[in-house]
Amino acid sequence: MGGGGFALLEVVVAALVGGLLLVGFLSFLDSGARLNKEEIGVADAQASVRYGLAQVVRAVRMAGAGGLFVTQAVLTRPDPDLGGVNAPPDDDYDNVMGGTVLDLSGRSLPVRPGTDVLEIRGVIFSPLLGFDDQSGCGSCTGIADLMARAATSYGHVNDDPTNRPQFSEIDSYTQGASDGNPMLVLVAGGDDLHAGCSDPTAKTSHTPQPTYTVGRLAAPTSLSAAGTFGRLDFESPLARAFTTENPRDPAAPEPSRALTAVRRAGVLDDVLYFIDDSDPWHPALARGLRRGGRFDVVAVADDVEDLQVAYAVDGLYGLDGVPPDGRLERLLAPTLRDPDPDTSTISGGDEWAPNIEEERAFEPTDFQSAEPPPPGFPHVGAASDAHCPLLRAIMISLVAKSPDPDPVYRGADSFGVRTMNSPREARIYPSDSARFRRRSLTAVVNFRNWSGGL
Amino acid sequence: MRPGSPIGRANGQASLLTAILMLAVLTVVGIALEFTTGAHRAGAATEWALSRAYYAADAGIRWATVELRDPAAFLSRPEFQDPSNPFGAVAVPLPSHDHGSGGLFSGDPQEEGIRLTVQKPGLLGRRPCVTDAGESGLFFYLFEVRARAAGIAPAPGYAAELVADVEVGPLSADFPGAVPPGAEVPSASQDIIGTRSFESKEASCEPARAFRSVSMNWRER
Repeated sequence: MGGGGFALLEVVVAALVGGLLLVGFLSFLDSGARLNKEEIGVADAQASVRYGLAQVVRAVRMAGAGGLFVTQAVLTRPDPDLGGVNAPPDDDYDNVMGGTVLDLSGRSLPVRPGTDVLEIRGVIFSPLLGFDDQSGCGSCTGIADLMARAATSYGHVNDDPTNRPQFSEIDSYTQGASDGNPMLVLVAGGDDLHAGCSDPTAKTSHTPQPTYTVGRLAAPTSLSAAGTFGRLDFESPLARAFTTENPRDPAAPEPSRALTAVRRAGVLDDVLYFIDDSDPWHPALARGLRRGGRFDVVAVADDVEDLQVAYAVDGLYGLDGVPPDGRLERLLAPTLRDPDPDTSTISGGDEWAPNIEEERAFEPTDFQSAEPPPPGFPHVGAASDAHCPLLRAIMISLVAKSPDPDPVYRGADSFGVRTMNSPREARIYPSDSARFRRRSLTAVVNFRNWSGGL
Repeated sequence: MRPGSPIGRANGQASLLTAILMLAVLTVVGIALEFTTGAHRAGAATEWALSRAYYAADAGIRWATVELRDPAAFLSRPEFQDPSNPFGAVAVPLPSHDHGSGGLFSGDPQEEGIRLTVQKPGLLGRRPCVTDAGESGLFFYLFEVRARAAGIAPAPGYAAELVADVEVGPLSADFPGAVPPGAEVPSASQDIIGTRSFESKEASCEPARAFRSVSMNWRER
């Protein structure tokens, strides 16, 4: 070989080395691309869990607005009179297995096995109006119009097109109301059925519990044009189911409770949060708004695979010999293995449940200091300190996963994350299943609408 | 190897290719990291800003709840006295405690970063204070309170508005400032109270004259 060229061997070796370098670089490039995708997945999971939790917390803070009993504002079991949701195996909302939610089209949406369901009620997504003696719905029984004024005779402004356009807001919110897609209106008086719950000398001031009734709304309101919610059916079985103090009781008997005057009214929302498992690869945090016996369901956040809820009840289960004392605290002394001064990791060790395995779900009656009165609402003659609210706070935990699997991820959460009392068999996936990156977030919300004062 | 020879040119091209590949890989990694940190940072910043507005508005509700323990004085504030403006509001400038040159949250505590406004409370009605001996002639008054907190320049992109009812009492039937000029005074016949509820509220004013102020119907707008 003349002229200073290379031998064949040299070229082959050079090509081999070059090829190896190229493969190495391509591999590096692939790793970079995969890392990019994984990080996007983690960011998605983080965003989902943040956004989903913010939405749930915002609604939960308003539970009970309008004057509902605490037992009707936060439910731990489905109301048997209403339908639209079932929660096997124990008929409660803790670790539901095989549960479904009926949507407006009649489809039964599966609840992701082993997740909790959260149901809250109140005037949440639309304004609450004030009334005077020239507005309202008379005794608010039978079928009656509910009239509202832009400004009451006491000077309270309900509606001002520029500064407080509440009438148009309610009209817009109720646009979808129809006989087949009814909504509900909560109408509350201005008394206090549980007046004895407050003891100013002991610095316990509970909010007044007004007498209230609920009407069925079968058409959009016409507040802007005519100053009326329209005709409300106060005898509807659907509406009467919301007026028993214990939601497990059958609907209150006719006739509905009469109000002598109306102080507050607004559109009552019955809100369900659950994990929609229609696509098990991409479960979603969903929100359902009750429309009769069905729910108007929308996805709130994608790829959320677990929702866990625990409640803080002053006195825990009431009958367990732990008297209410106005505080949330540990019931067992801290130990080396359970050192937190406020909460315990031992079943029954604090006033939160069910956030530890073996803790049972609360009954609606656990949320009050005495068994709620039976249907018909015979508060007359009952001690006024008999039904004081004990539910103080709620803890909500969400787990979100990346949208796509990450086959090479070996983190501890790659096969699932358990939070609170989520069942191991449902939340830790088998080792031959796809690996995902996950994020979990927990929030504690103190209820604002039935306790606390100065 | 002579410069300009075929091998020299090949080496130069290989180096260039290597450099380009390295740049591409590092760019992808950099973009991934920037995306992730950017998304987390944006999410945290939004959450922080919203929380700040929310808690500022919540502070407004609590402040009004406390102020209403002396309702005559609170309702006679000059901001609430214009009869043609039922939306008169008390403005409370608050620092936003942004980051400053001194480190995290070291911004000027005197600067106004959040504007909190508490609107004139709207009277919703009253209920009588009943004792075991019967009506006391005193009443619990219910007001609607609205508080709004919003960031102001240079970061005005967040706001929160809260509404709550505050019940205060027992107070006399005609304490000054309860009813706006020109509005009706809820008379005995107009009291928002059902006769049946009298029967179960024997303790509503015991011990006598115990004063309280409680919030309810707390809602985020």
